[in-house]
Amino acid sequence: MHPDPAITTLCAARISVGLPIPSDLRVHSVYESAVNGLTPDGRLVTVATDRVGGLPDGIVLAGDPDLSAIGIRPGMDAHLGRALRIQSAGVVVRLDGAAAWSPRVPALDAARWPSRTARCADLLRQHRVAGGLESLAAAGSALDALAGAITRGDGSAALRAARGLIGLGPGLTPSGDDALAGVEAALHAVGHPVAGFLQAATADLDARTTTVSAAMLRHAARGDAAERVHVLLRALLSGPDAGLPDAIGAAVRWGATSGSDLLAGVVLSLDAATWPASARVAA
Amino acid sequence: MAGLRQGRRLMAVLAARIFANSYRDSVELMQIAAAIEGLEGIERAGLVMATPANREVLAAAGLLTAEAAAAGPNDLVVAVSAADEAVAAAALDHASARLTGGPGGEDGGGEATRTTVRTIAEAVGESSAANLVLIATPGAYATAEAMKALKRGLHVFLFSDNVSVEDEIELKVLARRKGLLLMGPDCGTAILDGVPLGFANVVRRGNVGLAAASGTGLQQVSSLIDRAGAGVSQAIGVGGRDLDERVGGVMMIDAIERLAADPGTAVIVLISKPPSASVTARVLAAAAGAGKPVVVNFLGGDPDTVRAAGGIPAATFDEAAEIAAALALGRPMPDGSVEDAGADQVATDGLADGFADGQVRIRGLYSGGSLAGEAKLVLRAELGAAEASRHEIIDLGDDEYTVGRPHPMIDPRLRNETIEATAQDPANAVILLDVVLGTGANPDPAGVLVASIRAAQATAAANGRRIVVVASVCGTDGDPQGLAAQEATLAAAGVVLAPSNARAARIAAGIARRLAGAGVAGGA
Repeated sequence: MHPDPAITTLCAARISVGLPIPSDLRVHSVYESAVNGLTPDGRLVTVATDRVGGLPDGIVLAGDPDLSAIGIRPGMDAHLGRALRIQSAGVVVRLDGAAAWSPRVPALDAARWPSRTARCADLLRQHRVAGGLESLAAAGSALDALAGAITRGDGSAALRAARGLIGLGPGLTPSGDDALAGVEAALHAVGHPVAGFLQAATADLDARTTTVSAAMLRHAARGDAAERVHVLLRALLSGPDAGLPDAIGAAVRWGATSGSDLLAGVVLSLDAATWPASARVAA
Repeated sequence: MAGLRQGRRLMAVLAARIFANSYRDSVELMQIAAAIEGLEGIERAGLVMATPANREVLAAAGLLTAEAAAAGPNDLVVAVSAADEAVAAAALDHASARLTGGPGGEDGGGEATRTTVRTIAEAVGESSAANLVLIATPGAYATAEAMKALKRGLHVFLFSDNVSVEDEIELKVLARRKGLLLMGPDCGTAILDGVPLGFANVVRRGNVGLAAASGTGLQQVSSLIDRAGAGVSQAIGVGGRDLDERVGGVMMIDAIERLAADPGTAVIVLISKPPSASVTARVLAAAAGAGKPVVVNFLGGDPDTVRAAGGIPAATFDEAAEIAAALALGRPMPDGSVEDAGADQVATDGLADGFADGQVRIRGLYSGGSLAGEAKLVLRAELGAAEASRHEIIDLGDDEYTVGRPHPMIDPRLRNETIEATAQDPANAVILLDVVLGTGANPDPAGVLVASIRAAQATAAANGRRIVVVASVCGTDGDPQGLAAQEATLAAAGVVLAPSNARAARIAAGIARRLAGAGVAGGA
């Protein structure tokens, strides 16, 4: 049987554990490296290229095709079953043969963090990205309050502080949300008692931030994160010292400020979670 | 917050436009915000998703209109506070054009509109005659875009920084294999077939070809070549890290080969910081095989190494330009008498008079990193390392100064604040400045400095001191800003003008030498 020349067939290399199969989807947004689709109950399924890597509710393609150039447009209907089919674009993403990938943040030991915090702070200063969290006057006090709440193990206070950051700042995923995603990822990684504090905020996220960002925060509250966040946390907590510059340098290059803001949240969270050991070393 | 510049007074008109369900990527949003902020007559601007938190921030900034208040988290708000309705409408139309590709784009709607495309594939489809891509997206997206362009057979001008050295090597290996240019990463300047790319100057076409790992260095040399009456065939930027040991000078060597083969190039100029010994050897070997005279301006490098390889060493940007122009026009080579010029000018113009006791220091406030580097070298050569270390040359375009701010070549506010603050320190006597013209630069770089220069002079005078501002203008009369007009603006503010950055640094050094009581200036 000859392949239909009107059909673009892509192959998935990995699919996220927990992907909502079967589902109908409506294409939400299209980028060169990713396509987002919304299920009727508001879950965001993302098809991404290999360069983006694994995502919660994600399908990672083999290779790096230009997803904005194959006819997919926002508003198109799609169906996720044994394959993902976007009929009106003539696109099929085959899922057979794809490996399962877990978005759950790995459990890591924070013991080495206090001896690394000063070095990471220096690297963050060297790799500063203009226009993100640091430029938001409204973020400073919320971040301080959040750090204090984590230090005290007070989930309610952490949630109150977080409300000042949700939806705050520039970007499709606002800077405050990126930072909170980093905070939750780090808390889950080290098994901190405050991990998951954002769960109580998930009910009204759609009214407080963008659809894409709300999905990211829901996953973060559950302890799920993108593959590149897993890689970052491993590098920060269990990788060799020599790997820190590359790990931080790579993270700050995500998006315009998303990586830098997420990294700021990770560092804030790890410092607060390991207080006072991290403070003595940093001083 | 990106696009939320605070104004100093309330402006007349507040206007906003809402783009419902708009999911543009953050890089694009930041670029649009920066463009709107820079428009004439715009006092404040906000470009954010209309989340409740962002609506509060807009309200606090006085930018929350009724439409913005009613918008939802997935709606993009563009809000401006402007001098009048026409200015506000033009700014919003500009944003619309960038976001939707509609009319009213950068040309004000009066010229032919450009098609907005979102990918290289679309762009190539729009114009099959295109053979070069200019990429300014940050981070990992930049590498991916550059790779896609190279695979499509396009030359690349990679303005983006924060590209890893591994990615740079991979891109340049591919570019060499395909016979393409990969100018960058972190490449700010090039002039190809007379077309300026990035931050570049409008210079005469001629027979001097340049290859540079330094943006403002390339701007200075090409501008001075133009002023000397010669012209530029091609000016190839290779990226700030090309001559790093790991990259090996790949694109510099490629550029030398291209200029050697170019029938329109008779003289070649190389511009960079000094590379490692092995990279120097490879680059000079390529230069030796060019079959044309090669002027080598490795700032701070060893001239004997260059001579031994058959090159012509130049210690400064102006020396490189003078030698290149002389070769290009068949004139006698310069005789080095420029070295005394700084001292002569200080003596003749009384520039070392009228200072208070304790005023001894030079403070260089630069927008171009290479020009700052050249100034440091000149001060060391003129004053000695120990004395030179007492003065301060600052590159305000460096990362530590651009957190949350545009580059000083675009936004002068940080430099202006620093000029005024410099006059408050009783030890400061001289402010050294670069003023860079050309495409992409501020529309009036001299004009935006004048108020702060006058304020600094007034502060000094009020305290019984004197501040001398010494500056050079990097540019040509062909630039949009106009060299003569810019120099006239500075001269009217009492700025001491030098024809080049190196000369300006020598003048500053001459003043400092006098003030330190070092005796008669050299060469007299």
